[in-house]
Amino acid sequence: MYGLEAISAQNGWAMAVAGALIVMAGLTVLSLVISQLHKIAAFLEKGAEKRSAKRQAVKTVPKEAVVPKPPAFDIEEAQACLKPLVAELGESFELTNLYELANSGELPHVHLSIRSLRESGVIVPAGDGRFVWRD
Amino acid sequence: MPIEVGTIEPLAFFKGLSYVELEQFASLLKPRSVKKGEVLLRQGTPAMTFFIILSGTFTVSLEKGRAYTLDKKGTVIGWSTVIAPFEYTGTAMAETDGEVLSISSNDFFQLIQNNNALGKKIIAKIDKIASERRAMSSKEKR
Amino acid sequence: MDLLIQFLTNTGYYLLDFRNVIMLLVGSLFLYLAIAKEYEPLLLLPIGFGVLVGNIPFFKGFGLGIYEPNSVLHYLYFGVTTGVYPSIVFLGLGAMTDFSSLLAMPRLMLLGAAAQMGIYFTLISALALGFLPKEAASIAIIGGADGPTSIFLTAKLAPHLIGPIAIAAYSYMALIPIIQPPIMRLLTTQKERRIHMPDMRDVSRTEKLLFPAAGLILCCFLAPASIPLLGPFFFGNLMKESGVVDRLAQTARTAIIDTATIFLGFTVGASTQADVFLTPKAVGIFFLGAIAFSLATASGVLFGKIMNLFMKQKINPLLGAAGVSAVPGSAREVNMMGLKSDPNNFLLMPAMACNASGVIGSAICAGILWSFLV
Repeated sequence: MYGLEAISAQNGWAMAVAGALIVMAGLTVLSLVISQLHKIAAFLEKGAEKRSAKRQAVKTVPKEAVVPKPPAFDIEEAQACLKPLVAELGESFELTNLYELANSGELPHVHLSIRSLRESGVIVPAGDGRFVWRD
Repeated sequence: MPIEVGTIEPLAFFKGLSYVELEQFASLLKPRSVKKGEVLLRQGTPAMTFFIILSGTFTVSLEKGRAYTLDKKGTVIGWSTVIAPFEYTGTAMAETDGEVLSISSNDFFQLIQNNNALGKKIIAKIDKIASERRAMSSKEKR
Repeated sequence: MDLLIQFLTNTGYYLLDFRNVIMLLVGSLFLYLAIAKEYEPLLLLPIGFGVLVGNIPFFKGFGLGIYEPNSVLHYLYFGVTTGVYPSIVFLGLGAMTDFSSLLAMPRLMLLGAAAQMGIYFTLISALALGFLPKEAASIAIIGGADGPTSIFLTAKLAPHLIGPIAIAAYSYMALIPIIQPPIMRLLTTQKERRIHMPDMRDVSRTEKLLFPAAGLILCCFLAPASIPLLGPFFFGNLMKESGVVDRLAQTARTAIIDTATIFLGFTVGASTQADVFLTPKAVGIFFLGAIAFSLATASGVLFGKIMNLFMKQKINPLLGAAGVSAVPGSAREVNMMGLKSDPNNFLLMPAMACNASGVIGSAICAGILWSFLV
């Protein structure tokens, strides 16, 4: 059997149309879902950040009561000290690398400097666990 | 022998890449010794590989008897592997013994398939260099 | 003397048939394309050599041939007929594919779906030419431009056609630089080819981690028959993106996929024994394979144009051609054509996204066809 007769006899039209519709629908749904993934990811990341901040707060509260305030700290100075190091690390970098580099250069208050620059929006997340420098 | 990250890290082309990205690139680069007089690539042939100079001096001969010399460590020869017209626009010959790193277009595309962020960075670099080349050639024509 | 005569009558020279000569020439051509032209060498070299091995004439009954039970080649071929090699290849493929581009621009996934329409057009054409439904489906999947998927489905539905279908699928994948550009040029205007795609946003690690799970659930719930391909595929990708099993991911995308590719290519090549391969059906398969591939490219491009009718932010319809899952060959062709139209029009990253979508799409299609016909 050949031609249109063969297609009809073997249920060809139905198979083709149904197959095409299923794959189209399937990938459309997948594309819709992945277009929303960033929202789910942001939600999950926020939750994780909140939890870790909470944990940190719990850990640091009793310490803060006994540890004296850090020495006077100038954020502009920190910015000036760390900027050349960031340039060495490239456009995007990991905070641990910056920390190691700064420590090896014996810069003062490395932790505090990096944290302050993170909070003031100079060092911002680039996604994927890496960060970029914004002046 | 695999290429060390330290070998490629200081080269201009690799500036701005993370250590992991450099490692991925290094794993695909193949070192090659070039003898004086050896032709690295020939004008008009399909561009399948590009080369990064580690040492030596290379002359690139273009149409109408024009030519230029490349000897700076890190210079890339064979850009047409990744930009139009996708065939070598000049013939590169070694003026002295030297060493180059090569990467085939297949490996290059596999690298990008494996790491899209790296692909974005490399394409930005290629775009910049291609624009400079076009500006240079249009200047020459004028 | 008798012993000598008996030996001579058992040599390949004595048993040589003109069909073996044809196949030996085909194998040599594959080797030439792989080595001299560097066309898909990872595939064409093992297949080409396998064709040579499979077409050395031998005395049947010695347990030498790939179709003879208990022969070494038969055992190696087991991975093809059971669909084991394609699944392993998909594992490696997942471990080497970065879906960031697709996650950054999910609408490109539709182009991967559209390019699968070539499969269904070819299904109808093959039925019209008198192929049985299971054979027609196996031929149609060539339009997915995915060698392992074609082999997998054919092994399940029409194992007697594995040789010609695999050779057709891989040949057309190697011929992408010849098949796709004229179709792309024919179906697009210069203005369309110059459309630039926006820069892709950065994708977070969490998104990349969520994708394999979401992809697996959505695709395999829809077409459970695609589990043998998409299961390992998304698993490989999760290994890659998790970052906690780097060693495993590295092994999957190098040693494991390479081993499977070697045996897959070699045994598929060896399965092209002239008496099994050179049949009128093989001619029909090659003809329909070319149609499938061309229609897949055309439907992807045309769907890109249709999307532009409804979307504010236009997409470059060339990207539709990368919706076939020939990774990264078709993405490279799309990028080349974009750059030839406008030297600053780099389409590689979005084309890679379409490619990735094509891999998923063709595996779903294989699952759908398998479910329809079992």
